[in-house]
Amino acid sequence: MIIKRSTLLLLLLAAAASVSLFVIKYRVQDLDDQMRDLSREIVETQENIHVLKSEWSHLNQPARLRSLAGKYLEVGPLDAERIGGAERLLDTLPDRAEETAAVAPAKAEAAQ
Amino acid sequence: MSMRQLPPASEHRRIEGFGKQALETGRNRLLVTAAVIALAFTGIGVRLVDLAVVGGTEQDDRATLTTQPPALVSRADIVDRNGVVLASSLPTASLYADPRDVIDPKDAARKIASVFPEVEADKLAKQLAGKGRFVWIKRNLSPEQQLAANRLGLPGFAFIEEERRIYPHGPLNAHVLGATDIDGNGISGVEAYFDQRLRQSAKPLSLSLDVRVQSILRAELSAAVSEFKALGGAGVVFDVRTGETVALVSLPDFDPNDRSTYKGEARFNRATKGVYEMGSTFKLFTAAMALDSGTVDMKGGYDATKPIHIARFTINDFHAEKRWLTVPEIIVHSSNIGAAKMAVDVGGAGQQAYLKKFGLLREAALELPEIGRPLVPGTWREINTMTISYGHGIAVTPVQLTAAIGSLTNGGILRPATLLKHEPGTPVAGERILSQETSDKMRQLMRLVVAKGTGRKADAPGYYVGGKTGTAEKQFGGRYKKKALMSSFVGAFPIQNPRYVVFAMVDEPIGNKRTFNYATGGWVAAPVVSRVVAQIGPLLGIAPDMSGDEPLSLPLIDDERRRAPKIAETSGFVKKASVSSGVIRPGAVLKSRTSVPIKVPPPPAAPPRKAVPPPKADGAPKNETPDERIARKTREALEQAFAAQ
Repeated sequence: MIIKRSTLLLLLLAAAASVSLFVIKYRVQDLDDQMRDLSREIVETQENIHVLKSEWSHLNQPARLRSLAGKYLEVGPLDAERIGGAERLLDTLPDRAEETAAVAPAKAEAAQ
Repeated sequence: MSMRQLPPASEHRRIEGFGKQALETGRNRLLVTAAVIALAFTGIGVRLVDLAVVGGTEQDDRATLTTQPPALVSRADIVDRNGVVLASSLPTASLYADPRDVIDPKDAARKIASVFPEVEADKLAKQLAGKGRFVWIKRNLSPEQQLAANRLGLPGFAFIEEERRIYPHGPLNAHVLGATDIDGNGISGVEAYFDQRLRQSAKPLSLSLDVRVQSILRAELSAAVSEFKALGGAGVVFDVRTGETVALVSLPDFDPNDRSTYKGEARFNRATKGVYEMGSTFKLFTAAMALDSGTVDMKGGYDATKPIHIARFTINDFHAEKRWLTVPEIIVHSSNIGAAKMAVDVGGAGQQAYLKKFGLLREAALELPEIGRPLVPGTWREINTMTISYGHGIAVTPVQLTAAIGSLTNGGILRPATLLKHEPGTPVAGERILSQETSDKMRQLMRLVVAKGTGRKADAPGYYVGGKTGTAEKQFGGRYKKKALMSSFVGAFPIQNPRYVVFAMVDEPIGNKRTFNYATGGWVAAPVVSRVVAQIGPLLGIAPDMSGDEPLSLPLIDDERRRAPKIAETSGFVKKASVSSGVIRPGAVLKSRTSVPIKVPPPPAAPPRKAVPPPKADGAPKNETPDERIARKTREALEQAFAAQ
């Protein structure tokens, strides 16, 4: 019995289709599992974040930070003395007259 | 292929009849089956093409960002104005037992007690031997406790997933947040007021509090309470522009994490539930209503030579000046006699109307269940008008007081106090109750009290405070107790353009050596306000003024008033003008409303401003403004930099 070429082709195609169907099906199943794992992980992470936020807030209690800073750092709370405008910054710059007076003899020395 | 041999003619016809029929049926069946299969494969083929080529159904495979986290817990968080978590629900496990499944109650109870020392073994053994089907062993276990209990491997014991409300800041915000019961229902504070809201929406509830400010206020207040061995205290920081309560503290307080501390006196919120006779701070309201209604002006005054005798009472002054006092002097010397006379001029009905506008006669609309109802006289006689003028015979809550003081300083608009965060850009509720001019004068009076009066200890470096001390004797059964004081200070800062009102009150302080046995508001509460302002000013981004000059031109009092040249005292218009602009130089020419030029006389006692140093000899132009000076210095620095290259 001679099997027609077209029949053979069709059979092959059918086989290929079913194999690929199974492959795809398992892949989809894998992805599904992955997604489920990920969503569970997301929920877990969100829960952790939620807990850690409270922990963060607890560890950052202003009174606690203050006592820790007093113990380990050489800095204190900002006071009004340390706040100023650009004007105060310029006060530290020497005035022109003083500057030229200071620079002139130095220049003369350098020239010699 | 023998089938192909044709049968004899007669048979052929017969067989043909049979065969044809069978063949026909078979062919039909095949055809139908083939058609069905073909159809199915066509369907699959179409779907395959659809998925592979066209791209399938419109499925968005881009990752989506979930902005709103799913509700992990059944109660929303509470956060402060900067998003710091103040209260949160965490999932925990609780241990219970089903006595029917417990094999050896005594042994089980002993083992449980070894893990949880607070469980009494005998009592538990009895419970486990009982007939019930459910016994709580311990609720809200920590993960370690859960692990330890699990390791025992006792039959009949199991865990239930529960939630526990935790407060990361402990007692810091106790009286605002309130408390929840073991099942997570709010029983006081914001937890109770917003119980429904916290259940229905997973979105965190944003309060107006700032934990940093709250922490500073609580620390300073409790330092004062312990220094003066007081019963308790209350403190409020109030934003005069939005009505937000930035900090609210009542001492003693409790730790909402530990229900055993939630009892007795610690549950009482002095800042919102307690009503107190505020004493002299009320003189500010008396002055405000007198100035606003025009019964007296800043130059006017009253005779405080003799005490007032009315009905069976005598109204006297604590530090009697025994002379005629101007309005500023009445406030600075805290004269009861002067305040009483001022209030009588306004009249009982007027006083009542103003106090109502200040929100002092009705309960504050703060979002807490613990709100005290003010104590107000039933019938408003003249004696009531007089005593209320200096803060006796009327009792209000600290939150009412701070909101009302806010309206004196912010230009005359009462902003109702709130505990919810105000979103920037949205309109703020408020009602104008005083004119801008009255508010300006009140700021001068309040500054005067701190600059020259009883509130000196309230001033903070870099921040000018204006306020008023209050020292009231506490009433016990209708009688005032001399030794039991309620000492307070209420102040606004920076007084040039107030942003916050800070209130501090100490309940029954006992004076000590440092305060020369004084326990008055000026000695006890004013320093608290000073320290709070000095710390929260930089924190809240308020630019300090280190110039050391009085920011407001203050009305003259006492000897300086009598000594001052006549011209300075009579030129009311000029002084007012220099208050509003603050930069008028001596000798400047102003135009009055009638367009008659007026020479501004040199101010009587104006020290040279330190902020602008005297012009230097290096060719700096005289009368250079700070801006010009910055520009010049920058130019010079640049020139020099180029010259050096």
